[in-house]
Amino acid sequence: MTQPQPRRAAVRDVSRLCVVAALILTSGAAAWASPTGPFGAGLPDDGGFTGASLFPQFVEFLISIQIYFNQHLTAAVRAIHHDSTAIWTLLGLSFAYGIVHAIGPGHGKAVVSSYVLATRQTLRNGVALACIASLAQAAGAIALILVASMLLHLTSVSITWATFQFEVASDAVVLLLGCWLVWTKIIKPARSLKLAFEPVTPFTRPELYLDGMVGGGPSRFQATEVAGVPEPSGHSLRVSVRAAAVANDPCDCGGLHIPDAAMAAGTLDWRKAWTVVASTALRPCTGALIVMVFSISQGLLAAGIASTLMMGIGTALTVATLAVLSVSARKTAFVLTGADSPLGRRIKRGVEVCGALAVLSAGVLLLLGSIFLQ
Amino acid sequence: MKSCKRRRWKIASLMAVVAITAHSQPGEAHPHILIQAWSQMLFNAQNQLVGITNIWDFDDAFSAYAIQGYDSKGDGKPTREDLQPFAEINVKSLAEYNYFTRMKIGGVPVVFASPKDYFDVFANEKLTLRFTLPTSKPIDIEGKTVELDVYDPEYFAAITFAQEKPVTLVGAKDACDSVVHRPEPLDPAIASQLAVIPADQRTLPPELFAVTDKLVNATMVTCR
Repeated sequence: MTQPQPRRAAVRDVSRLCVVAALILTSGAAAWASPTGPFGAGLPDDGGFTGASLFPQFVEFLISIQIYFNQHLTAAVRAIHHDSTAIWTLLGLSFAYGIVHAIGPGHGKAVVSSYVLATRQTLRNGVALACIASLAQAAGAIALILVASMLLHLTSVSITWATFQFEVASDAVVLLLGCWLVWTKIIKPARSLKLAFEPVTPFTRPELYLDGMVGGGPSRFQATEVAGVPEPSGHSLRVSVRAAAVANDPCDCGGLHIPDAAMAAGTLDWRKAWTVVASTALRPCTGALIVMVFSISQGLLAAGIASTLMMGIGTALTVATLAVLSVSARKTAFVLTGADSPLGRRIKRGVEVCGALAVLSAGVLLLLGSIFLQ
Repeated sequence: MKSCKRRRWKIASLMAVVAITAHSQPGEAHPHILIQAWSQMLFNAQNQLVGITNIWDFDDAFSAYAIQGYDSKGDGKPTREDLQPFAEINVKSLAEYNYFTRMKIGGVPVVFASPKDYFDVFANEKLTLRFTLPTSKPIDIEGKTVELDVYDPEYFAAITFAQEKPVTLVGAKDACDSVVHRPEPLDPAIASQLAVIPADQRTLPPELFAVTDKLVNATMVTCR
């Protein structure tokens, strides 16, 4: 590498990429319906990040699918009255509906996959988080209807209004998570790297160690390139250092991927991941609510609960697939560029930074959307 | 160095495409409400159009959802009186969406006054909303073509005209013909233009308004 200021170039690249990403996110986040929809009952799904312009035929396809499910789910619920095996039809349809429905709007899966990218989760953790978040969403739907509809006998309008309030809370949780990610993934590493800069060997040899916080844990870096440029004042030297992570523990000489290796062994950190789960649990899918209420109206509460849970399992499949895709895309990029190459490291960093910024901007935009529409 | 930079950009773009694809979702593509619609065009003695009455049958699932908590006897069968507060909220909410009703007479968009005679009825497990939109003033339609379409451009409600007599003319002289155009598959280019309109934008740009006329639940009425 002979670039004079590679670090600055990296920052510029990353920021360009993020500006593009932010523009795309902003265009979609405005896709918000009136807070409680055209009839005041049944909350429209928030647009999340609109990509419809890229796949118009896909939108049409989704609509016809949705109509199909609406008709067949209600028919299956009714059929249970005279044919108990119809419960299997209902469960199968619910599962399929969960898969398909999750492809449509909703910020849940975007938050899950952004989180997975930003915190460099392993495949296993990504899948686990996706499943837990989706099932929590189903549980949220069941709890909402049991309490609001059956116990409190609230009107559909009040329930929709309550759902909207939960959605605002969900957006706030996303914002919280975004702030936390930006703090730990962008601000803190930059700060601690600067503060802990400390040459441990004479400057004449480029063997320099830096202790810093990266990926949430302390890491040690070894300088690979050092360049000194005199400040205009002439009294000081501006030193730029390129460094590679080295083993933190002297005994562990296994390689340079310490954070990844540690994460693979570890489990999800629930102190942080709960926010992802909470943001989905607080935003039950309108389709699930409607099917559950319809089942109750047919005197089939248990079928309604089972159907909602099956939808959750189907949703989990889609969201987990997206999480797997995110992790694989990241890994592919590293394979293409070489994880230890300057470019590979830059992408690794860029992915984290963009993941963190994506969650933050989702939180900000969704919350602003809710507040302005209130 | 230049090629290195180009390569970096290539990979950055690749990553961006992957990220955008993973996160992109069709906006408002979930019709959670299916509606079967009838429209009545109302005429006065001078054969002028004075309003339109929409009759909307909701699907069974949404009907069950909507009537929650409105049954005063707790039997799951709310009366018309029970549902009046709900109808009130329906028309108030629909106002933001232009009542999903667009009408042009001789190419000029019709301005509607506030809705009247609105009510919800629940019968045979189906909820029906009925409301009348008076035109702001009586409109002569002789020799002109009336174009009416009833639909939700955001697809939260999928509205289709009923098979049987979707549009009737009430009080019109018999010299009027009505033709209903069923929705045709959306032209992808137009669908994509529609899809990028933010949901908080309640009016379509004129050039899109013109093309959507051809697409959805359009009715043409011509009086000689």
